[in-house]
Amino acid sequence: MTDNLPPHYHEPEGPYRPAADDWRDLFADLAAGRLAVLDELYDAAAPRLYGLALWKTGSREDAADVVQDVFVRLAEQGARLVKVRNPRAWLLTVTNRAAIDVTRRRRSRHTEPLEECAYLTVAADDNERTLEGTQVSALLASLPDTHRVVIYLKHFAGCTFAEIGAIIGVPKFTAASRYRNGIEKLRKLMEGRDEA
Amino acid sequence: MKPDIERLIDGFEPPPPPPELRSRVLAAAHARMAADDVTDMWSTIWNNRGIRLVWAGAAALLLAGHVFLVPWNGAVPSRVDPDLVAENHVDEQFVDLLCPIQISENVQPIVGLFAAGDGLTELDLEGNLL
Repeated sequence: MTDNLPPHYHEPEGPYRPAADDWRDLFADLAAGRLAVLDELYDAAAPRLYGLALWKTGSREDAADVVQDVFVRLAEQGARLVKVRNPRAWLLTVTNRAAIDVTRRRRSRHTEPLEECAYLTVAADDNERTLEGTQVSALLASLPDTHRVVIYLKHFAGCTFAEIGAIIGVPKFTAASRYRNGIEKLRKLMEGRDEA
Repeated sequence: MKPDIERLIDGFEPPPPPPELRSRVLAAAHARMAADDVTDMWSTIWNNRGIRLVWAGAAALLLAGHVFLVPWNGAVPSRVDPDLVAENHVDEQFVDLLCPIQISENVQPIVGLFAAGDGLTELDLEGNLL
């Protein structure tokens, strides 16, 4: 496993985000040893972390393992959590790294190819939208995970390209370029699908 | 205005984590935190910047003391006088054992002592003088 944890310092960028500040309070409480906060943090953060892990690994089982790993690493930090300036970016970074580790382990085991997983869902019961979601999921599955992760962070985690760059460890221009390439590939795949 | 594909993605949500994951994750995290409450001495040292600095300072001081305070005179340890070994009927294997650890300057009195006391028979099984 990649044992290196992200630096505790993540300079927030862009507009004010109350969610990030809330997590900072939760981190401060955790650092002070108030364990009950862990449940609250799970409810606040786990959906985003699970989504990122799923988009990175392409496996529901692996994504669940990644989320567990992230919370265990969080628990290991103890009082050091108080130094984390941007908990949301810190958690997403740890999740991305844990997902990379899981993917590497899976490749080294030469396991069977993953079954197609749903990257997107529809909140309400809408058969037509559900079908569309399944089709877009299939298109997303054909993207490289490096591109998919950037699209996820941009659309569902609300990150800026600078934050995305810090999370996945590339310059922000590379993050922006991956996003544009990913969207362009999706568009072409969709056009090809519509023509077919 | 966002291109179609981006608007399309925005219309969906990533799947939520399975409900059973919550208890599993929280149990693992709580267990890890409980384990951390019983920190060992090395973790305490590693996690405390002050102790780490003192540790590093002590190591640097020892190294500096060794380099600057212990002069190296360049002397090569002399071998045990073969005549002394022969004269006192000391086991040569014993002498060979002592030479590589470069205490031959001190070996000669030891050899003399054991020779005077009828050799190695004066040592017990743990190597102590009887």
